[in-house]
This record gives sequence, structure tokens and C-alpha cells, in this order.
Amino acid sequence: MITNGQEQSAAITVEHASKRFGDFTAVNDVSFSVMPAETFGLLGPNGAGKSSLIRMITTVLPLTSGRITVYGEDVFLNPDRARLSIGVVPQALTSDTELTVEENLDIYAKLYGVNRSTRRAAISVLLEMVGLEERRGATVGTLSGGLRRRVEIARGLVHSPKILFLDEPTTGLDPVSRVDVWKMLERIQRERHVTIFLTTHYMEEADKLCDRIAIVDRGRLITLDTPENLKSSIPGADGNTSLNDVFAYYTGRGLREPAGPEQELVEHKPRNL
Amino acid sequence: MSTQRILAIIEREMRKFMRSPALILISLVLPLMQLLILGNSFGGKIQGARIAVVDSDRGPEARRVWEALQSVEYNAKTFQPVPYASETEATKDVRAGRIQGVIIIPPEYSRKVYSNNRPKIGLELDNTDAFVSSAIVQALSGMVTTLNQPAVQSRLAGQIALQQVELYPYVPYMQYMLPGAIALAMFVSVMIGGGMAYIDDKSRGVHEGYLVTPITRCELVLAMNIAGTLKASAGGASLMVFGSLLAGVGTAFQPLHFLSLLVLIVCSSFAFMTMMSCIVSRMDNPLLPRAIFGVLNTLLYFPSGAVYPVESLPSWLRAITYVDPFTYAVDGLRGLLLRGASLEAVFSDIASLAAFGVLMLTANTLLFKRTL
Repeated sequence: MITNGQEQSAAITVEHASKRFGDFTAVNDVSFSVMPAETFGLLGPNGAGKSSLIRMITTVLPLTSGRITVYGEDVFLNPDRARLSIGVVPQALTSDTELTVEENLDIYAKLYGVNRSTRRAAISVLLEMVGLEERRGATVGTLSGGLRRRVEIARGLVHSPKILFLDEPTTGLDPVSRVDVWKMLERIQRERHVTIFLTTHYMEEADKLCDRIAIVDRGRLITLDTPENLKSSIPGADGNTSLNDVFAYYTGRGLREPAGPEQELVEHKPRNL
Repeated sequence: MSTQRILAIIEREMRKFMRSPALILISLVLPLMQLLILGNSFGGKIQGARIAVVDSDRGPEARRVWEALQSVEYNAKTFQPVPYASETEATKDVRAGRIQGVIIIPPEYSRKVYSNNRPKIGLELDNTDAFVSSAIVQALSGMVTTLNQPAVQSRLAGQIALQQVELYPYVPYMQYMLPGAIALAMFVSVMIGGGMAYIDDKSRGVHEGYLVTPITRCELVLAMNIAGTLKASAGGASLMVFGSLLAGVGTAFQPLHFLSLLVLIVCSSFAFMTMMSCIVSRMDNPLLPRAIFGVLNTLLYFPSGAVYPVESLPSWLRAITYVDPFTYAVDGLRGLLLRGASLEAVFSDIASLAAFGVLMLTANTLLFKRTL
């Protein structure tokens, strides 16, 4: 249970959050908190409820039950105040390909109500941070996947949020671009003291970036701890134990494997019966 | 309500629109094609139909009939008389589609004319094509009226005559279709730049990007409808200019009329856009707007008076026209373009379109979900 003191000091608190779509429970009584300036990783197989959980915290998906606060603001009762504290980098590349890098950022800065006087300077600083200052006038459609991902990250930061959500930020990128994104996120965290909340399929990424990692499966929070503690928590752990082993131990399968037979049976029950 | 946020969405939509010239052109292609092809194929005079003439009399009055038929052939050119020896052979050719009708001058025709003994000319018609057959009947009725007139007419006519004054120059069908084509250009723009773009943005996750910002439901709905209205207005205004040049309508190029037309185009675009937003507000499947385009086009465009007068419609179909924004757009555009009417004269159309738009905008706001 999260205490009042924790809620006051935490960047995010999730208390008994659940989300049901008809008979299907996507998120089932999940509780945790994320501290300011922490890099928090959410891991889980496909269909585990990661995206639903992120969407609930970022105010776009209503909770079925439970409570979520962002810097003390209830995302259901005061969504607009919560929205000002968060920046979101979605899994899909949603920047407009017909618009330039700067125009994409400018439009989102306006949506977040960033003042005209500070907008241009803020965008310049961000473009320098993500290494796109030379390409500010280029249309996004002409950029590679890695550069487009940088545009998305800059767009998520355009209103200087306290928390940055990244939903699988390196999916589809080549190893070099992936390492670039890691370096960029470390720099953002170092310079802006932003709380980073990310989901990823790459254990190496989670291990390198995250202060704490939560593993969810079938809508439930299975475990939550630092990478080192997670590695030492499994039976027979030694110096070679990786997060892949941790994941396999807690979920009973590899990260990219779909939900197990039990869940498939539940989902297909009407047809099978 | 934040103007900055509304303007940001409009700016994004307009920048995308201006950088997609192919989309602008595509939205103009269908109405321009309709204007060119339908405008030149419908409403034209029927010419060159082949009519068999079976002359079983061969007397002087039958010769007058032949002369009258040849007069139609050389002047109005509605039909071309072809001599046939027998009625059976001619009827067979009508059924085979080789000729469109048969005129039968019966035996003793001249004698009956001279003795005032109810002379008759027979006509067999291929009435499977109502347009051609009615044109032939009209031409032959005029010919018979001429044949019935006495050779020397009285100096003081005793019959009542209808004196017709046409207030406007002759309106070819292409000009008649121009208002409908302009309305269709706005509708296609709304389908592409409003309906399809909206669903496309939704499926790409762009809307989710909006939803995580502090933009309100009203701001988002209003901004998207304003942007769609501007895009459709650009389409309508472009077609007004190109279509007027093609159809030879000069009214659009008079400054005051041009402004009046712009007002009407903006109101029509607003009505179309808000209607489309309402329809797609809960849709997720990108194929649906494409699928409903044909249905909406048939349901709203054709009964609106764009291609055929509303007065010819049955009552149940006419009921649709009362709630169809196309009807008011076409009526207003026809008044301004073809009758040279003032803005006051089409005020009822403008007011109806604006009221319809406000109603749809309200419904759209209520239907729009701020969450996923």
C-alpha cells in the first residue's frame, strides 16, 4: 500500500489500478510508485498490459478501478494538470512526414501552451540535445527511422515535462541507432532530471538504463526491484545471470513469446467450448 | 478555450494540405469529370435519330409530309427520314434497334385531307429510350401543327398565343450542372481531407498524441472542423473558377458576386464538414469512409437538384432534400451563378446551411470521445 507521504513525494503512484475490456482484464490490481528523476522500466510479454497501463497513467484510458496520481494530481480528477507534467513518446512514429522537424515540434509546443517568446529557444535547445539542429528544416519524411525517433523524443520534451513516457523507444532501430537513443536518454536524464518511464523488449536496454524494473504478466505486477536485486532473486543466480533469465523465471517464457496457453485458453474459451 | 491550441491544429492540417497537391487535384478530378462528361452528354439536343417512312399514299399531301420531315432533318436535325417499302419490314428494324421509329402515311391519306375526313399519320416508336422517343414526338407534333395550318392565314389571328419572355440567356446543361459540381468538389474535399484523414490520423496514433496534451474536446472538434471547412472551401472555390471557365459562366468573375459565392462556399463547406465529422467521429476502420462515400454521394448528391430538378422527385425522395445540405448549396450556387442573384436572395440557403452546420458541430462534440 502506498502511504500519503510516498504519494506526496512520488512522481507517479499507481494504487490498485485495474482495466477491463468486457470480460478481458488487461490490468489487474496493479500498485507501485515511481520516484522523481528515476528511470523506471516496465517489462512484460506482448499482451501483458504494458500499453494499457501507460495509457491509463497518461490520462488517455480511463481506469475501471483504482487510482493513479502524477506528482500528486489524480489523472482522472485533474487530467489537464497531470498532462502538463508528462511527455509521451509513443511506440508508433506519429510525427507528420509532410512537416519539417521544427514544425512538428512547434505545433506540439503550442498544444502544450508554451509561450511564443520561449518556444523557439526551447526547440533549438531540444534539437541540439537530440542532434537534429542541422536537420530542423528537413521534412520528417526524408529522415531515417532513427532520426524520426529522435524527433518523437524531442516532441515529447517540448513542454519541459517532469516525466517522460517512452513506449518501446528503440523497437525497429538498428543497433547503432539504439545505442544513440540510449545515450540521448541518459543525457536527457542527466541534464533535465526528468523521470523516465519506459517499456522495452530489450533486456540489455532495461539493464543499462533502468534504476528499477517492474515485470508484468497477464495484467498483474509480478515483481519490482533494481536490476541487480532481480538478478540475485532467482534460484541459482550467479555472476552470469541476466535479465533474460529473470524474465523467463518470473513469466515462464521468453519476452517475445505471446501469452501462454492458459491465457489463450481463456481468450478462446467460448469457441473451444 | 485556448485559441493557440485551436490554431495549432488548424496550422498542422493546412500545412499538410498545402504540401499534398496530389490530394487537392484528386478532390477536383471527380467533379470536373462529371461537369465535362455529364454536362456534355446530358441535356444536349437529340440529333440524327433514324425514322422509317412508309408511304402507302404517294399523293400530293404525302409529298407535303415528306417535305416537312426533310425540313426537320435539315434544320433541327432531330431525325433522318428513311424510306421503307413495307410497315412489316420497318417494324422489324425498330425491334432490331436499327431505326428508332416508323412514320406510316396510310393509303387514301391525301384524299382524306382534301375531304376533311379525319386524316391520320401513324407513328410507331421504340419507347425503350424515353429521351429519344419524346424528342421525336415533340418534333413530329410541331410538324403536324405546321401541316394543319391553312395555306393562307387570316390577317387577324383568332387563336390564343403564348408570348414567352426568357429572363436569362439560354442555359446549357453544363452550366446547369456547374453548381452541383462545385458542391461535389466541397464534398469530395471533406471526404478526403476530413473523413479519411481523420480516420487515418486516428489509426496512426496521431489522435492519441493530441489526447495526452491539455487540449479539450471542444477545442479539438472545433479545430478539426475549421480546418476541414477551409480545405473544402479551397476545393469549392477552385472548382468555381475552373468550372466557370469551362462552362462559360461569367458571373463568378464579378468581384461582388465572387465574394457572395465565397460566403456561400464557406457555409456549404462548414455544413458538409461537420456532417462528415459526425459520421466518422466513432469510426476506427480506415476502410469505412471509403465504403460510405458512394452511399452518401448517391443519397445526398443526386436528389439535391444538382443533376435533375427537385420538382421531379417523388414525395418520399423529396423529404430527403429538406435535410440534405447539398440541396441548399446547389440552390444557392445556382441563384448566384446562373441568375446573378444577390446574397440577400440566397439568405435562406445560407441560413439553412449555417444552422445545419451548428447542429452537426454540437452533435460531433457530444459524440467525440476524449479518451480511447
